Amino acid sequence: MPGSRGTLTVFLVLLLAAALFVGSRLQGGQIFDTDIQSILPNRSLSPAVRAAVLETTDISANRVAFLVQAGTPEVQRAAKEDLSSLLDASGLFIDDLASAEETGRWIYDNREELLCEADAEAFDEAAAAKVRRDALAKVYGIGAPVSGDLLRTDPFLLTLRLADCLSAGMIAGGQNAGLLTGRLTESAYRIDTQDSLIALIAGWQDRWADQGVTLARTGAVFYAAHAGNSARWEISVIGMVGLAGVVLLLGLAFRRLSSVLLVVTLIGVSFLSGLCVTLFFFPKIHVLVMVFAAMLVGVVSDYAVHTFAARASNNWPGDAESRRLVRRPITVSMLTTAAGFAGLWFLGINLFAQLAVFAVTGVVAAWLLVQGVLVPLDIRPRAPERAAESWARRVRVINHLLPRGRVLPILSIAFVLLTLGGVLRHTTLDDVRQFQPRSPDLLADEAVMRTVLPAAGGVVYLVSEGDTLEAAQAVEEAAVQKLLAADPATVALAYTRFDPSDSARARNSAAIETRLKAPYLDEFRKRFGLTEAASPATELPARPDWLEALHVTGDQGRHFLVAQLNTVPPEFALDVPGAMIVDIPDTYSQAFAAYRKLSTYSLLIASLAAAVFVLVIYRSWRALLIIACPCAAMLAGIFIPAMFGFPLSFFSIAAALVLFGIGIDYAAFIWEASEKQEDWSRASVLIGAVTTELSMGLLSLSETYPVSSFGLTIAVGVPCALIYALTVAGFMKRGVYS
Amino acid sequence: MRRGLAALVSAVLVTAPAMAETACPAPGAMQPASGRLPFVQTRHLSNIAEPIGSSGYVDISDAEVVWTVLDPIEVRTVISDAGILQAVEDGPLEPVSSAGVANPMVSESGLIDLLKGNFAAVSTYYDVEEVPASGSAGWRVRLHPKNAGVAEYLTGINLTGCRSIETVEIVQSNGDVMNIGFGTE
Repeated sequence: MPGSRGTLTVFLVLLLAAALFVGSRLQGGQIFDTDIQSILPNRSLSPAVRAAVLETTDISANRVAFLVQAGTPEVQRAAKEDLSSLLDASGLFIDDLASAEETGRWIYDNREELLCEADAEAFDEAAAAKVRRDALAKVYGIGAPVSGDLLRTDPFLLTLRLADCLSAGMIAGGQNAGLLTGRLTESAYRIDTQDSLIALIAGWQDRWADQGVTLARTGAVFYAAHAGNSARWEISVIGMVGLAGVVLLLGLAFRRLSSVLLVVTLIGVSFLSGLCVTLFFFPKIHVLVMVFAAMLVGVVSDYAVHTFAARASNNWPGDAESRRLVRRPITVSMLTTAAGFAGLWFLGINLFAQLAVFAVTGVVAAWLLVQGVLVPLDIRPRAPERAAESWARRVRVINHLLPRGRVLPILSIAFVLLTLGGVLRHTTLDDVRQFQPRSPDLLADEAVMRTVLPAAGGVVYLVSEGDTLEAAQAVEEAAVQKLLAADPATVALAYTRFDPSDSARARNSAAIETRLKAPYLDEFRKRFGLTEAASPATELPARPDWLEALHVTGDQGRHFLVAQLNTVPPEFALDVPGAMIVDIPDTYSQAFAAYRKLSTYSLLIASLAAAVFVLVIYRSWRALLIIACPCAAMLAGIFIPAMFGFPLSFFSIAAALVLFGIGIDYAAFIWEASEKQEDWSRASVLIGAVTTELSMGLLSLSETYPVSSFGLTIAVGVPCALIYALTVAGFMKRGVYS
Repeated sequence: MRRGLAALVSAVLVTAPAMAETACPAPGAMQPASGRLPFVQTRHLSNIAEPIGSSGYVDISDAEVVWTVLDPIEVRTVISDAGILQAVEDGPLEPVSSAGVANPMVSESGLIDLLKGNFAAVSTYYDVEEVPASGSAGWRVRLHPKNAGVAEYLTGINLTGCRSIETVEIVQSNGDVMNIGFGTE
């Protein structure tokens, strides 16, 4: 690889192009995805059901509800109207009342084919008698909104009855008191939407707090904002602390500002390369990828540190000689690390596919940059002999810090024992509800909101499938009937409660005719002087948009009806063909458990790929020990935290994959050092290990379980990888460590 | 509409004490009501040939208001901070609406405040216009809903009275009119 001015020119042109590409994508809109669903496996549900559920959950994710409470009705009303005005003016919110007339019209036009009861049989004589009594009470009593036109066309006031019973569990209806419900006009996962809404509410709260007004709110937008802020904090704090630590460490190790600047540049350019290529393949990058990407700081700095150390230890030789010194170890490292990260692609999780592209690109870019850019720019010091002596002294000091002799096998045995203890004691965590910390304030708000809206924050769905809408309606009706029979409060919002199948409409109509109209209509006509019968609607009006949203047509033309459920009775078995209950968190938790097991295959694949690489490169069976060390370190990283009660998860396995790549760096560098009788590699590996701890190990401090699980595995696995590599090198009695 | 009715009912109930022989005080000076008041209600609904009449009495206490229709059927409606319950004929007392935590009749109308003598609550929901009373001494007030949504359905409410409200006329945008006349026990 030529280190010519031409290489630098190509590098600068590519860098500029990458910067322009990323800049243009940043200007083009939101490139970071904060949706927790994006980290979920793609294959946990059948594609059609998943699409139906996700479409519905997207819609429900954009729903928001506010409950304004105050000491007096006047203050409550004024505060609510103020909030409503602000939301309306922001253009972010559409009040459900906007579709109330449409909904009312739909119910009115369908009143003689809809029932509050789950099926027509339940509308018996007693129910009909109650309808009669209630209608009379509304006409003769106080306050009911009965107009002449309504009474003439709907003498039993079925519209009012249906509006009352059907809206009991649905978010779109039942607005009262301080309740304000609606939907966002922009995605709840857009950071600008979150920021605007949070700022609007904060301003409103400032104005009303001194009047004793409180607000409960719920909606995915608030959870996403909380999670987004938490992730952004982690990116900035963990990333900056890690970077600062690396800079300080390199400054102390190499005593050259240029070294620090070159490493920072290398990390920055690798990061930019990863971002650029990932944005090329994906429309958005999940924000957690950016957190995980902090690992590049550690991986990339390993190459730079090793190169600086090699050059300093060899009196800053020419570019070609410098490359010769580092090419093989960093190539082995790059290939095995890239293989490890590439394994993430096959886990079927979009987040990790993005991370695979990001990391492989970053690592390959770093490999190229070290040889093509870093070597020529690492200028020989003015007084090389003195600098070399100084470096040699530091190498001795650093080497002195490392354990040696019998301490190494003792530490290795201790790590192995702890690993075995972890294997015996380990627990697992796959429940996605525990993955991301949820704001206690928002959970408290949700609890308050649930007293008003039973379905607030609901994530359980009934999905009914059919070749036609009529078939899907029949499936849902059968399922809803069973659910309501088990618990009348189960169903929050179901399509067929508002738009039943033709056969159900016919049954309902017949029940109303025989049990209500036949015995009571003449009485009502006489009592109110009604001269003409109610005329049935000749043409159905358009379905309200929220009702349309419950009906999803799949790619294959199949129809899905997605009903929102409050709770499902324990031990409830839904044996209705074509219907299934989808509990989103449960479904994905099970999927994560399955992926945790499956991802161990990725470890095996990566290990085998790496074994092939080292055999091809070193042409020696003994070189397989280069693989044995990181394999043992992987197990240590996974199980030693488990020994101390930290549960094992899919993310531990994913981290082990990365740990494998890093562990190979250490084993390969030390192996090379043994072959070449060098004494500086141990120092460079220790520096590299500390930089890795500062970057990836710090992720263990994250509040988000996937990130902390990942970080802890690395934090524990890295020292194990180092100790195992040194132990094996010493045991082999080859090189300077014997 | 319900909000309008609620405030109206509230205003009516505030005026329960028997009329005095002396000059009529301003509407805002009315005292909290208590005890039992008979009423006659007549609904003139558009496209319905005959008016629909009912009668009964209303009981007022600090804790609740019980609006009882005796004729042509028995309907008992209990209004309190806890919500609205209703019993029809020999049926049980049941919540009027199953949806939501509260009913606008109670939570938004200012009903409870009015029962405590807070006539100002009416002005939260309505522009109050005093118009010259015709005929005998007394006052006449016209209420115009402030909320555009309410105004869409409710044209206005006319109240007449002296020491208490004697008649109420609710005029809806669709032409429906409801009259309530209060007597003394």
